[in-house]
Amino acid sequence: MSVTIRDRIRPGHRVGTMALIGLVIIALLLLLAMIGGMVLPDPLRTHAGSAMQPPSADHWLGTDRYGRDVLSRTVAAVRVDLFIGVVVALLSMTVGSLIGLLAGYVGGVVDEAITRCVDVLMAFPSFVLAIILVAVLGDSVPNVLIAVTIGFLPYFVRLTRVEVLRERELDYVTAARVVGNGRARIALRHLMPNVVGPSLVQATLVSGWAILNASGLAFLGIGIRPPTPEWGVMVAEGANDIITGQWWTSMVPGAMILVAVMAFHLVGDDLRGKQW
Amino acid sequence: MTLIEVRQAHKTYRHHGHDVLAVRGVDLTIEPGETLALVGESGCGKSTLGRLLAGTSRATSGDVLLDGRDLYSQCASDRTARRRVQMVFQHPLQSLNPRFSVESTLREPLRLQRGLSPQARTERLRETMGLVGLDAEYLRRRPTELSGGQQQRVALARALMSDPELIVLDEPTSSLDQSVRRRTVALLRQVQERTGVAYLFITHDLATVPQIAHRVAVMYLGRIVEEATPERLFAQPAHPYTRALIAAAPTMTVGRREWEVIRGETPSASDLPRGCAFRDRCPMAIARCAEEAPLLSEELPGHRVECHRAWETPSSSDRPEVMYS
Amino acid sequence: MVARLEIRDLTVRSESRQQPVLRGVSFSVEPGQILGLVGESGSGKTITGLAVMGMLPSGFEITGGHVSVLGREIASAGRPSARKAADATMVFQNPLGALNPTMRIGKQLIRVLRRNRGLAKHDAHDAALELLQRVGISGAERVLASYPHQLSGGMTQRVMIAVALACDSAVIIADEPTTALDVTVQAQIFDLVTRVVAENGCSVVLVTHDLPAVAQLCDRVAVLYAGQLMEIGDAHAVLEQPQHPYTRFLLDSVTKAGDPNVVDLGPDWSLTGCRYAHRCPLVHDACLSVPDAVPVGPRGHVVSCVLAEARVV
Repeated sequence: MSVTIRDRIRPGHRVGTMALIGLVIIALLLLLAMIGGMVLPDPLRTHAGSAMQPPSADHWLGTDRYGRDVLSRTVAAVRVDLFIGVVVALLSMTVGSLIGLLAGYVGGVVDEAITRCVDVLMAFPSFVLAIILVAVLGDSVPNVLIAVTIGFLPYFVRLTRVEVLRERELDYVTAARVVGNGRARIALRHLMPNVVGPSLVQATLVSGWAILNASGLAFLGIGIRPPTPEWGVMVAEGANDIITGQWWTSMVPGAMILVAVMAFHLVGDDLRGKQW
Repeated sequence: MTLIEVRQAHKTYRHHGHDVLAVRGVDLTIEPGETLALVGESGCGKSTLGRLLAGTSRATSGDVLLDGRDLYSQCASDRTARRRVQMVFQHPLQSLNPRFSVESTLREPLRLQRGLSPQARTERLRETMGLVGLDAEYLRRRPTELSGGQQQRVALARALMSDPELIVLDEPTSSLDQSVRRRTVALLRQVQERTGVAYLFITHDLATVPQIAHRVAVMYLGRIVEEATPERLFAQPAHPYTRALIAAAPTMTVGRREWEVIRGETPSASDLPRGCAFRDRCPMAIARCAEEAPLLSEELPGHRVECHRAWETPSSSDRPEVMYS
Repeated sequence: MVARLEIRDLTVRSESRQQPVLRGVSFSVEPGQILGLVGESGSGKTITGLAVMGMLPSGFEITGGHVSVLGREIASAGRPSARKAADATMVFQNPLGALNPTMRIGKQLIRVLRRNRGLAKHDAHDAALELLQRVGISGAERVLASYPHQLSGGMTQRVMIAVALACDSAVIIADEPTTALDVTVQAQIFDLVTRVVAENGCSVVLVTHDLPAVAQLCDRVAVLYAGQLMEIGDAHAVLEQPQHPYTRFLLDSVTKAGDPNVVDLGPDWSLTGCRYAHRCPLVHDACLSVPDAVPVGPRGHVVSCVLAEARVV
């Protein structure tokens, strides 16, 4: 039978401690995203006089070259990066699994064509693919989202397709046909809920990778640009400061990327069945 | 007016580069309200034939007719026709969508019936649940929360929701506990008495046949080798394979018994011997069996057999039914 | 003579349930005997076989009683598995699942032979051929060279029996060995089992829900329901003169027409006394306590029911 999310989170399934840590971190990030803006100073406000200050009582994580509070910038960036991560994951999962469903259910030439396209896409690492796509589509924030999304489509197409190929042979699908359902309804109402499980699991991992890719692109100056607070942007801005010993401008956002991606990974790996 | 008529139906599959002749020229009829049992072992083509009659598969050649017109095309194109033939499967848990509650599963067939008010739908639901002996509280449950017998009742209810004229039952009791089988067959019979639905009852378990079937057809490697009423078939089996089937089945007569009943295993349907397909295992095979395939003949009214030596009993010159392949 | 297989007061608990999955199950099988262990799905018959094999799934453990083969204890609460291949082997319902799909039959069989009989490679090959012929496979060389998926169901089951023979086991547990097979192939396998038992003198426990098969193959019958052994005795005694209401129910469901309006009730795991109380037509207050095993006839005909009248054996 198909494996559902519920199967993976069975009663008695002890969520691994590492996954629990991951969940806690994500929860904290969400909390910061929601209330951070209210408590902390304005991330965009520059103050030339207090530029490049190391962490202190006034500025817990110091200030950057424009005098902006690093802590509040980092927290503001949570909103941006988390948004990217979740949106890209949801988008590529939805589009990808629909394409996979089509390929698996219709079969034949359509399946061949889709599989070939997916194979081509998978030949590139998703980051490289994203760069190429942005070059083609044009450099803007929506295009970055699209490019990163497309980079992850193959995972979902393949996952869903394989599940569909197996599931469609089961009797309840034949029964749905005998009862008189049209093919579209069978695909969407009967098959889809039963094949989407592995994709949901994959989506948690993809959330982390999407953040990595988007901030990586931003670091290269593609897509999201300063002064928008975003971790990749911040790392780029602060990269040169390390040489002069001023670590906080780049290390802090860098650490945040690490923490966020790790958190999604811990949760996703646990759902996948790998205990640490 | 005959409900179902099958004339020289053939169904061939392509599998790993070979042609698998699953059904090789079958003739049969089903009258309204009657049960035809289709008996045979794995590889005989009974499930394939069942799918032809359920309209989920199209015959390679020959006719499969519902009320005189092609069944498959009717079911594919006409909603009303599609409702007339329904199916119950061997593994009840697999035949129910695990994410659908019993109620959702049962309401689905109603979607195709336009012009039914919500009250009428609920009434039909209630009525059908009563027919299969399920309490209303089962409506909320998921398939995994039900026992095998209950799942099969739900599957039967789903088939009945369309108010069909024929239900193809593909080994409906094979995956149920022995103690539940007879009850399930008794239920099927009760439903037939109340609704007048016809059944194609596919099974490998001979014991369930007399309870429900008006006629029995025994299949071997894609052909019907014997067809009669259950009483006649058990009293006077005319085909050596039928005899072997009956002899091989355990009964409740307590005590050790002779189990050597037939040799070898069913050959592959993609590699059939010339002449009669059963001759390699038949204790009564003669030279003629290798040259000429026998044809179904009706020596006694209502009792058809396909064998050159039908009705003969094995003599001392026949090979003993020993050995394994 | 020492019974080949003896199970005494076996109790198995599972993590997920308060009540034990097997409670105080006792029976023995003599050499050359076939015992039918009968029950519905969920009765615990498979768990019994697995307990003998020391192969209980995780979450299950023996909490009382013991299993002995030829007088030697092979499983008990403290030691769940001291079994050797020569003590007991198992034949499964799905033979394909029990054989390694990536290894040729010959290799698997020869391995078992070399391990259990210490044979040199060439001798093991000959022994494997002989074993396959013994289980009625003609074309044994071809089968030795085949992979499991290339064989039919009946053929694979014969191979499984050959493996059991290669282990020279005193006890063979056959868990629904023919449920997935055609009836004519089943007859062939039953014939084989009868021959093997007669030639080898081993004991066989046939775990199944198929009463007619038990009636015509087994010497003794043990009836299990919800982990409680309800009745045990000679096949004739138990199946022709059943003393336990559940045995009667089972027999009726196979011999009588069947009432479609009977509700299928599963076991009630909250019962602390007799496990059949919620379905029994003869239930009364005494059934709230665990019934004793009462001898009711000669040759070990025993019933667990408060209503059973002890008879001098």
